[in-house]
Amino acid sequence: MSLYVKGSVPLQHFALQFDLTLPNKGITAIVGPSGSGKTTLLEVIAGLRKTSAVKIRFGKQQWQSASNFMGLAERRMGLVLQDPMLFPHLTVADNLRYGWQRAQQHFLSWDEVIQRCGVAELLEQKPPQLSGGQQQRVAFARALLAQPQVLLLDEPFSALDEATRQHFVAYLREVSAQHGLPVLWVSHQLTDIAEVSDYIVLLSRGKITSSGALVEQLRHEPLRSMLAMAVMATPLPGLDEDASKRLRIYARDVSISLQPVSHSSVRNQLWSTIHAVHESSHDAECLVELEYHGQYFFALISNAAWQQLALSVGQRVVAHIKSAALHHPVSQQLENTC
Amino acid sequence: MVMLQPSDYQAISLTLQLAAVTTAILLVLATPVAWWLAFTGSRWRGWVQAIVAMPLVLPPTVLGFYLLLALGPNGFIGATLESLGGRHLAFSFTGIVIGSVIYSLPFAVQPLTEAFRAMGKRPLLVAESLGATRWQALRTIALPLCRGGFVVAATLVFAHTLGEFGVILMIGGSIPGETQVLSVLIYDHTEALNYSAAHALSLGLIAFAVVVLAVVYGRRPQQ
Repeated sequence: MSLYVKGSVPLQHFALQFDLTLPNKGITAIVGPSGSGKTTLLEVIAGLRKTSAVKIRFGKQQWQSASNFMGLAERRMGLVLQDPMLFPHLTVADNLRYGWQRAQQHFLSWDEVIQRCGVAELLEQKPPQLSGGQQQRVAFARALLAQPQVLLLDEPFSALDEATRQHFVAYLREVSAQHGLPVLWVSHQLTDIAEVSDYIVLLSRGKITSSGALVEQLRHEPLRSMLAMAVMATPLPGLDEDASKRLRIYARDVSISLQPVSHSSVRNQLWSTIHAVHESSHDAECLVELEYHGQYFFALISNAAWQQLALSVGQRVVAHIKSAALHHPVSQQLENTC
Repeated sequence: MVMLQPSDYQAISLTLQLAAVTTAILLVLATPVAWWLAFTGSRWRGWVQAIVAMPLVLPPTVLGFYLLLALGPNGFIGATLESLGGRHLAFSFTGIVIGSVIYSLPFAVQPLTEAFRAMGKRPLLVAESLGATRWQALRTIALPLCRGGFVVAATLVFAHTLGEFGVILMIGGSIPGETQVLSVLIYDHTEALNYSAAHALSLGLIAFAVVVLAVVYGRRPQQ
């Protein structure tokens, strides 16, 4: 089971070419600068652009081939586009009911989605009365209530403030994990999306420059020097983090010593092995790749420090990670937002 | 105030019937044409649009002349009908309905094309992605979103048909109760130097036209 897409679509200045097998669970990020063709790619997968030179297969379902085009209704996908595309003549409640009442089975409950998306107060209003952020929340809720088998998102939370965005990201991860709902998420903000995705596809001028599991992609260029971060599964032995979530560890928050430090404000110290050393985005610094029980993360240190400590690949060292640096998406109830 | 004659009432009733029938037919006929024009990528779009818009440019007499030939007993359509045991359509109500439909076609197609284009296909695709069939999406999304376009099209066709003269005179002549519509009757009154009767009907038409157009143009833009 996976989402397979292959094809070529002529755009104004170049052709969008793709041949991808994407996982059927978790969040897949499609990232690229403006005009790289990422929105087009999502629209092609969604069937919004009818082009003949495209093959799409979702699990056992043939969505599209040269001779076959499955209707959008049968694809059962939740679409949230940059423009929320609410139906302006219907109330928010009727917008939400549009997909809900047509769904065959309901694995997401009406009350839960309404509450978690914070749209209970908006139900009687018409979309033109809503702010941009409110419209996006309604569009997201509408897509979920249609009980999709896959979610296709194009910058779905761009108009939300940071706290609300975090909440929606956490909710999205939760829904995706609980119900095995695959998510395809288009974004131009690499830093925003890297923290939440499991799989990443990088696009540049219509070409896929790299794709793969996020954990792996972070270890290689171009993401390695661009992001200088790692994602680790918890619980990590030796770390006093209780959440069974992923940790996002930035290289700049990690330092290295040869021995454990007893009088330090840094609480998390891990005996790790230097796996490799890479160039960083700054000439005077290097990215030290550390291995800890089969997981990898980075420390950003100066070249001078590397030489001073006489570090070498294969050496055992102590990595110090600031507690505050163990980022993970927060999950909380959405109250008064926007 | 001049009293209207029974023949005037007959003409008013006939005119309203003609306008109503024409409007009904055109809404059904123009919708798919307008849809095609709004969304097609075909290279024939320009030509089709030109043909639809032709009644705007041609003198009504030209249109009426060729329709008279086609619908008359020796014309392609008229002769076919006669050979099937029917009657040709020149100087008949059906004849002037056909003339009116063609004559007012651009007034129905253009506002609908604009409305469809302004809506775009996206809302329908989103509706389908939410599980709606193509037909449900058209009925529940496209129809209400383009309601303004339909109202404008219907009103313009209705009003335009009321004011039709040349085409009807060419195809229908002036048979009371069959083809003698208001504009033709006003012409007849004037020829007979019956100015007061012509005034009464003319002023009535002017008032009606002003009210209808004021209502159409005064519509608040849809939210």
